[in-house]
Amino acid sequence: MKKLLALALALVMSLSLIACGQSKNSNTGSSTGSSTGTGTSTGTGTSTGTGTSTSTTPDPTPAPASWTPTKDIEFVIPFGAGGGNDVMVRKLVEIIEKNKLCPVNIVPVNKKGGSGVVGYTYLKDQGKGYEYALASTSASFFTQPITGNSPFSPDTTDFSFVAHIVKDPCVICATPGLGFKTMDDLVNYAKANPGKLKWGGVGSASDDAIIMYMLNTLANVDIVYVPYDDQGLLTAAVLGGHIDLCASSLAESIEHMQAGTMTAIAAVADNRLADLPDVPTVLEEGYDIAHQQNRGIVMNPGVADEVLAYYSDLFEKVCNTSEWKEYVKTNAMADAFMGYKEWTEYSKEVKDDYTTYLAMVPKD
Amino acid sequence: MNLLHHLALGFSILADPMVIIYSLVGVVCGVIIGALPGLGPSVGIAVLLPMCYGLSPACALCMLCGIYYGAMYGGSITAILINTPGDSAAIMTTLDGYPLARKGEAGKALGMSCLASVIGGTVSVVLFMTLAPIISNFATSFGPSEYFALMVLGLTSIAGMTGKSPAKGFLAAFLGLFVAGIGIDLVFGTTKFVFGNVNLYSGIDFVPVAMGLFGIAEIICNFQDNDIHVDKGSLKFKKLLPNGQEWKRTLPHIGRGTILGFIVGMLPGAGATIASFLSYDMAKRTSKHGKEFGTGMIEGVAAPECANNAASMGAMVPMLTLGVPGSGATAIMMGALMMLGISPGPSFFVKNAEVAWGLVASMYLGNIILVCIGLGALSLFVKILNVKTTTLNALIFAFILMGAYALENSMFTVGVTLFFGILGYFLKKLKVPAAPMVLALVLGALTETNLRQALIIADNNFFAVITKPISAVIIVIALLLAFGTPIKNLFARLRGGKKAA
Repeated sequence: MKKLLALALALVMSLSLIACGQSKNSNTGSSTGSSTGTGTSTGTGTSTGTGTSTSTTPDPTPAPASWTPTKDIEFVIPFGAGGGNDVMVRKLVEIIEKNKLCPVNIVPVNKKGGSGVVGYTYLKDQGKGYEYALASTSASFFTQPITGNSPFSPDTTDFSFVAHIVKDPCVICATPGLGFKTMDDLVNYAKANPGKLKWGGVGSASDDAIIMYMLNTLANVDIVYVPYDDQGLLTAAVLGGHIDLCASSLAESIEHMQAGTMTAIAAVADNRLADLPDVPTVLEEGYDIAHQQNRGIVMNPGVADEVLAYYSDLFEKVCNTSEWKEYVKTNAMADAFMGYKEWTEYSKEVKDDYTTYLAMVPKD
Repeated sequence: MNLLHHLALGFSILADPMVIIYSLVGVVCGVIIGALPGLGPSVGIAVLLPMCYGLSPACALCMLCGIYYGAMYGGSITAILINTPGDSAAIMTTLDGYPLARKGEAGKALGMSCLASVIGGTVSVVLFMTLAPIISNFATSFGPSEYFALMVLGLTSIAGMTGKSPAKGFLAAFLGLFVAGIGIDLVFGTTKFVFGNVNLYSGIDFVPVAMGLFGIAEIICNFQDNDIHVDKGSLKFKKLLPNGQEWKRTLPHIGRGTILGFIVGMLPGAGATIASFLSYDMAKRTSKHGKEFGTGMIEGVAAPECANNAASMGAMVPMLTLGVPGSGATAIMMGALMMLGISPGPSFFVKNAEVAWGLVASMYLGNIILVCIGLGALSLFVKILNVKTTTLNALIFAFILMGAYALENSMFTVGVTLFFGILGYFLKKLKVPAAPMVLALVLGALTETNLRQALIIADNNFFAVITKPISAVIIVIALLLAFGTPIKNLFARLRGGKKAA
C-alpha cells in the first residue's frame, strides 16, 4: 500500500509540474513542487487520447489556455430520483445556476438501472473526447465492474476523472442488547464467538460489506455479512436486534444514536464527526479503516485536459460556496474536493481497495 | 385528555387556509397521478417535491400526504374503468372492478372504491393517532424470518386466484416466480438469467409487467370483442352510493381489510401492495359468495381498496417514529422531511409535536377532501367510457407506454411492457389467469431475499427460521389456509364413513 501511495504521489507531483507548464487556470492539482521549474515536463505528459495517465507519450502541442462550453451539458445521474446521488447532483446544478457559474445549462438526467451500470455505460458510450456529458460516481461505479457485472472498467480506459467532491463517512453501530461500547468490546466478543456476530449492509458488494471485510482482516475475526436491498429494512433489523451490527450514515440514524436505540461504536472517517464528538474514529481505535464512499464526477474517456480543467475549476467554485458547505454539513458528508489530476490518481487507490476486499465476498 | 389536547393543537394548525389549499392541491394531484398507468404515489411525491421547498413544514407535509392517499385511490380509477392498474396497490382492484364496469356498473364500483378508501383511511388515522407512539416497536419485531413467513402466507393467497383451473393458476404463478428470479443475486452478486443485458441487472419491476399483462392485453382483446356499455342511469349520484344491502355485505370486509391493511402497512418489508393482496384473499375466503369473486363482486373492490389506504397510513408509523420508511413513497417523504429540517425518529412526536399533530389533523381533512373529489368528479371519470372504444384504446395505449417510459426514463421498460402485453394476450386466450403471475412476481422476490437473509442469520438452520414465535404462528396460519379445506373434507369423510359403518 505504501509503495503504491508513494508512486501515486510521485505521479501527482510530476503531473502538477506539467499542469503548471501548460495552463494557468488548472490550479486544482497538487501544489507540491510547483516552484521547482517546468523543465521536467517534456518527458511525461498525459495524452488526451486513450492512454491512462501513466502513459509517456509526449504532448507536442501545448494545450490552449482555456475552454468554455458552448452548448448544454448533460449531467447523468445513474440512479433514481430522490436518492442520495440524485439529490447531490441537483444541488450542485442548482448552485451553479444560482451563481451563474456556467454560461450554458446543465441538465440532470436520471438513467437508473443495474446499480448504476446503465447510467455509466451510457456515459462511456458518449465516445472519446466528448465534452458535454458528466456523471456522478458511487460505490457501484467501482464495485460493479470488479464483481464482473458491467461492460466498463472504472479507470481511465473508459472514463475521464473530473473532480472528487465529498466522502460519505459512516458510523459502525451495534444493537444495544449486546452492550458493546467500544471497538475492543466488539472485537473481543467476535474473537470469543466466531461466526456469531451478523453485520447487515445494503448490497453484497458495497461499502458496508468492504468495511466489514476490512475489519475481519485487520482484527482477525469472523463476522458474517447479511446483505439487504433496502436501507430502511436494514435499520429496522438492527433496531429489532435481528442483526447485530451495521455501518450507518449519520443522516440515516443519528436520531437512533442519540436516543440510544443504536449504539455508535466508532466512526469510519478521517476525523471525528462534528455531530458525534465523543465517538472515536476507527483509526483512533487502532484499525486502519477509513474506507468511505467517494462521490466524484466522471466523464466519458479521452476528454482533453483543458476541458477537464474547466469542469474541475467549476466544481471547485461550487464547493467553495457557503451554500454547498451548508449542504455538506446538513447531510453529514465530509468535504473532500480534489481536482482532476488528484482524483485520477486517487481513483486508482480506491479501485485497488475495492478489488482487494471484494475478493472476500463469498462466491456460491 | 392528553390526546384531545394534542389533537386540538393539530386542528389549530388547520386554521391556516394555506394548509387546506395545499392539502387540496396534494389530493387532486395525487388522484390524477395515481390514475395514470404506471405512475404511483412515489413518482407523484418525487415530482411534486420541489414545490415543497418554500413551504412551511406543515403545508409541505399536508401536501405530500395528500398526494400519497390521493394516488392510492386514483390507482383504482383506471383499474376499474380500463383494467389497467394505475399503481401496484390497485392490481387486485382490477379483478372485480373491471368485470363490474363491463356489467355497466362502473359508477358503483368507483363509488365503492372511493368510500372504502376513505373509510380505510379515516379508521387508520384513528389507529395511527392512538397507537403510533405505543406500537412503533411492532415494526422492528419483524426480521427476515418473520417476513419470510408473511410472504409464504401471501403466496397461499394465489390459491384463491386460480379461477376454474388450479393447474393454469399455478402455471402462471411459476412464470411469475421465474421472472422474479431475474437479476443480480443479492448474496453472491452473480447474475441470474441476465444474458449480458445490463438493463436486466436490477431485475424486472412488476409495474411494467402488470401494465402489460392487464392493460395492453386488454387493449389487444378489445380489438376483437369490445365495447363497455355504461348505463347512463348508473351515474346518478344516488346510484354511486352503495345501497343498504351492499353496505351490509361489504362493511364487515371493509372493517377487517382496514385493520389487516394497517398492520401489514406498518411492516416496512410488506406495504400497501401486499396488504391489498391479503385483504382480497381474506374477503374471498370469508365471504359467502367467495366463489363468485372475480366476476364483479362489490366486496372484491372494497376489500383491497380499504386495505391499501389503511396500509399507506400504517406505513407512516415506522417512518415517523423510527425513521424507517416502509415503501418508496414514504422513503421520499422522509427525504423531504429531512430537507425541511425535521428528522423523523424516536423523538419525533415530542420534538416536533406541532408538526406531528398537525399532520394527524390534516389526515382527517385529506380524507374529507378525498371523498368530495372522489364522488364529485366520478361522473367525469366515468365519461371516459363514453369515448369510442377505438379512440380510447389508442389513448390508453399511449398513456401506458408513456408511464412505462417514465418509470425509469428508458425504452427498455417500454419493451418489457409490450412483451408482457403480448404474453398477457396469449395467456388470456389460453384462459391462464394473470393475477397469480403478478402476485408471484412481487412475493417471489421478497420471499427469496428474506429467506436467504434469515438463513444467514440462523447459520443455515431452516428449522430455526420457521420456529421463531411470530414466524411459527404465521406459517401455521398459512398451512391451515392452504390445507384447511382438504383436511376438513378428510375429517368429514372419515366421520361420514364411521356413520355409514
